[in-house]
Amino acid sequence: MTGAPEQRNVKLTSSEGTEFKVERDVAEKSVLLKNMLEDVGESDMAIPLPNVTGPILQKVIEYCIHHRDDPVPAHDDDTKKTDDIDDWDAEFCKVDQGTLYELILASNYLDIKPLLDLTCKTVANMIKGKSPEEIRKTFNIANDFTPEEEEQVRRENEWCEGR
Amino acid sequence: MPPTLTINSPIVNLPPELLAKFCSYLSPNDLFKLSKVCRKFYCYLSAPNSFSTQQIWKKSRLTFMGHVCKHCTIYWAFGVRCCSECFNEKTVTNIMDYPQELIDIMPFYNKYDDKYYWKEQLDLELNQYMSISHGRLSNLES
Repeated sequence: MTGAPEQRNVKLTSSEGTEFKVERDVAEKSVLLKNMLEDVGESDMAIPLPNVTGPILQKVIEYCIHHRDDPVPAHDDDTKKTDDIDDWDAEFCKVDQGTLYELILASNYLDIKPLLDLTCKTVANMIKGKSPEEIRKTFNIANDFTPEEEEQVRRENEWCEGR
Repeated sequence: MPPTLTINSPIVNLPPELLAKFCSYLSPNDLFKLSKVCRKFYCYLSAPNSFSTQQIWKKSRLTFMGHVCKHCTIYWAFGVRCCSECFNEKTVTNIMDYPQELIDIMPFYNKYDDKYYWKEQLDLELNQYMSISHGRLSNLES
């Protein structure tokens, strides 16, 4: 599949100024870069990505290389299942929450829908089926309700508790 | 990690449009629990006047609770009230598999010159019919 004749490389610079060279079809997994390349045409100039750090860009490129031959997802292909993550993707998402957060921001900025879906599914899976206390633990969230507020929330929701 | 020092995961600080993104994978039940985690999520998911809040819950309902019957039509023959979608799902016209004498006594609804039977009723009656016929057979044999 990857026998494209003389693929031109695309240069990208992360926020710290580190330069990355990727093949054009890999870069075009990002709709932002694809549009840029179409508008500007081939150029030896590196594309600056001031919103993405080097380590994150490295991860994103790793993802795009692995998925370079995937078909372009159909529009409105919005299945809301979260158990359809394959092994490679699951392994890819085994990162600390800081990295996961950066990956969500980067895939949103670079407009790589499959990666944004994957990372958001991963976060959703961390929430699914958990109690509020377990969710707090998972994300290290402080319970900042005052006792009065907590009581109020409890009273508001009394009618549907335990359903 | 020192337990006294609570630093929220950065994920809590995602901009609203990205929070909405992962909320779209959560069932109403999970959204409800998320709203009880902290003030931020509570404000975000329990704002009855916010359009984005409504969209999140609506999406979640539609995705995870499937079709919700509008109960708009009464079908006297079956003694039920449901919408046309449920009607199509719960009735049958092709009743070749059932014994004719059972079909003859079942209530039906006429639509486009076809007789529609309520599946649940049919199966319930079929069960009883079968047990009667079997009972008689064993009585005769003994």
